[in-house]
Amino acid sequence: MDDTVFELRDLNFTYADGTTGLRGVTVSLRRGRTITVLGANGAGKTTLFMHLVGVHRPTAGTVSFQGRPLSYDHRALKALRREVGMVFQDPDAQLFSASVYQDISFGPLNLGLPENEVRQRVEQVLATVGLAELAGRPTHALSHGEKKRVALAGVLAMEPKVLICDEPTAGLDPRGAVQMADLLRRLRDNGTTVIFSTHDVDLAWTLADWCLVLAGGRLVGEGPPAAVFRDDALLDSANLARPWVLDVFTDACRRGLAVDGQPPLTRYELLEALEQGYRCQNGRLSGPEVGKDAGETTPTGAPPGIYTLYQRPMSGAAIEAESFRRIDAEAPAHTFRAAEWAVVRRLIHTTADFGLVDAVRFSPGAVEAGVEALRRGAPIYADANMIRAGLSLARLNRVYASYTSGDVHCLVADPAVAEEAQAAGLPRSLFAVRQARPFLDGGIVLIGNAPVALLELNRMIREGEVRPALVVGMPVGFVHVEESKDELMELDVPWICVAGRRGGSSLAVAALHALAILGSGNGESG
Amino acid sequence: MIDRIAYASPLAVRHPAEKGLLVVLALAACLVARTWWVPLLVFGLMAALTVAAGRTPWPVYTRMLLVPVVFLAAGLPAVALTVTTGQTPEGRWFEVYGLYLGFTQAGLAVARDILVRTLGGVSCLYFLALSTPLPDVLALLRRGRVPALFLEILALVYRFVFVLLETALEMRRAQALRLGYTSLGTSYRAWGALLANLLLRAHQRARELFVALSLRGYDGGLNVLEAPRRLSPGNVVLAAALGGSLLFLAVTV
Repeated sequence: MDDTVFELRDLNFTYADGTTGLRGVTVSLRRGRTITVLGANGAGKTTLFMHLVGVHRPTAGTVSFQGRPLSYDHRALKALRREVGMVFQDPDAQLFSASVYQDISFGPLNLGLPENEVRQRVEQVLATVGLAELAGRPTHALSHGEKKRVALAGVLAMEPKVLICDEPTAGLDPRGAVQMADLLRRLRDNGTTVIFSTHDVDLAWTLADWCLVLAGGRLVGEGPPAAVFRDDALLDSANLARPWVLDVFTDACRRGLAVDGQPPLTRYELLEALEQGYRCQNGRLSGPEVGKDAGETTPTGAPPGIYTLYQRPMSGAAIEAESFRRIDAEAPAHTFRAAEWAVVRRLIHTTADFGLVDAVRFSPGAVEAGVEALRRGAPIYADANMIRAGLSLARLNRVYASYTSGDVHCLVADPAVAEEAQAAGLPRSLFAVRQARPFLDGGIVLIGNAPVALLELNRMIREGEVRPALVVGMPVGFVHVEESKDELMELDVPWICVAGRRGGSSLAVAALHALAILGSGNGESG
Repeated sequence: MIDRIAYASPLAVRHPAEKGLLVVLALAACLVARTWWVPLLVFGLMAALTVAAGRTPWPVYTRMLLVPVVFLAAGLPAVALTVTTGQTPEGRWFEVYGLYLGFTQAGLAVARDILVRTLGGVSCLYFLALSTPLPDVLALLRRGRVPALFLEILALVYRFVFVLLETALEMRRAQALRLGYTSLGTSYRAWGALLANLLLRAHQRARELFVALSLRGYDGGLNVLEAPRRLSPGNVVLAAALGGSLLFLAVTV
């Protein structure tokens, strides 16, 4: 592949004293990436680096650089090291000259550059690492952090395409660590492929776009940071912790303080995510209409103490609006018309079940037929008392002001029905539907519980006994349920149906509420 | 200590050739001088330059001068003293077991010459050492065609003396904190362990350094560039005039 810098194939390495360094490491490192190598002390990070720069020769397996296996003769290594630079963890291992200036000039001179070009590079690189004023100081009078930067400068002056840093922030004070991270970030932005090892998971999190995890000389995991740092078992195996930003974010999501999604990389992004979560909870994200509506249910009369205590107005309208926003954002692709989607969305809002997108079916014009029926105050029949209890008269009254509780019928508990059912040894819901014949013709029928009721209704419709204005067919369960719905969907009446085993009273109620809201002209189609 | 003073000196940033010219001429003057007061003049001049212009604290400077003075104190009496079997008329003699110990005019003169030449020479070198960081001195030597290998070794020794010293001090401190030097017995053992360990560390360091250097293209030569220093013609003329007149005095008087 073109953009592979290093390709390691089944790399094994054993030290002369018999210690195993690496076992079966196979990985390819892509150009332009910032790659971090994570792992406990002694996991093989430095050993791996020593292979990349040709200091160690694999006991078995191969290292390829830009598609060609490394060869270890003098000239090939020299060519490799023109392109690949490495900064050691301990700067004293690398700085050989007492003069900062001389030390940095060493590498570029070995590249065979003319003197004035070398001088230019030395000065430029000193400025890059922020040490221009230290050029005259002797190496041994520098602090550890300054030495580390000089060591980096000595390698940068050679302008390597690939920069390997062994523990670039180890032993640095917090400010020094931040400066080092900024430096590496700038190099990355300039197109250098940066490979670094670290124990600082926060550094890895903010800087890297690819992680390798080593444990006991093996590559136990690799991937983008968002995947690697969410794999608790992997982190555990390598003695690693989660970056704090991700840790806080994950907990915040679990507590509902932030919306799960792309995890934040920095403190700033984390705060943004928390702030967004906070706004969502307060319903402030959903625009001005919600704000107006919110007055309806916000406890304006409540004592201010309670209000400030919770800091969450939680108006019903606000929650609903935010819920709809997220459903719209997260729902899978679908082909519902706007009015139909208003119904489906409410069903999802009720159940948090996106599977409904594939399950809800409408006969052509069913929504309009239902709305029309509500507007003329059609009688409503429910197969379960739960539906009757769940329906909001206030909502129905917005479509047709004269709806009363007497217009919503449920005959399951009717004594006559119970008697008949007992005598026939059949479910009560079946006889309840028969008994309800006067309300069914031209009425709205909600089946949210009993498939038997729907089967009986289907028969009555098929045989021309009744013709409802709309059938909401949402019985739930495993027996007869699917057949009852399949039958309904064959019939020539307006119907809204949840195919399959799904269903329930709450769905039936939600469907009718959706129609009522559509009918009251409170436009929530969108 | 000397190193720190050299880096702190206001003369540190001056081109080493300026200082080198002066020192070489003054040193030559000391060596060829036929009168005793020329080296003394050199000494006075160099001491003044070191303390006044180079801002070396004078207590430090006098303490440093004690080093040659101690050697002189040990050696000069032997030079000044003449032992003979037969008295000569001049000088003062003491008879000890049939031998005569005494000071002759000539012996005292030789001792005096040695004293002033030594002080003069030492002051020249001190001036250089206390005003010129070692890398500059090396640069000067390189220009003087001293073999590169010798200079590289010098540079590496200079660099790693500090690393080794730091390591040794740290190890010694750590040993002391674990009561390594509480009795003669433990002291011997601690010293032994320290030295052995230091040797291993030095070896390890050398290997690390070799790897690090080869990654930066080491090919058998430590090629480096010195930080640019401006050669001030005025100072060169000044150094040449001063050193030249000293040499002139030494040769003619």
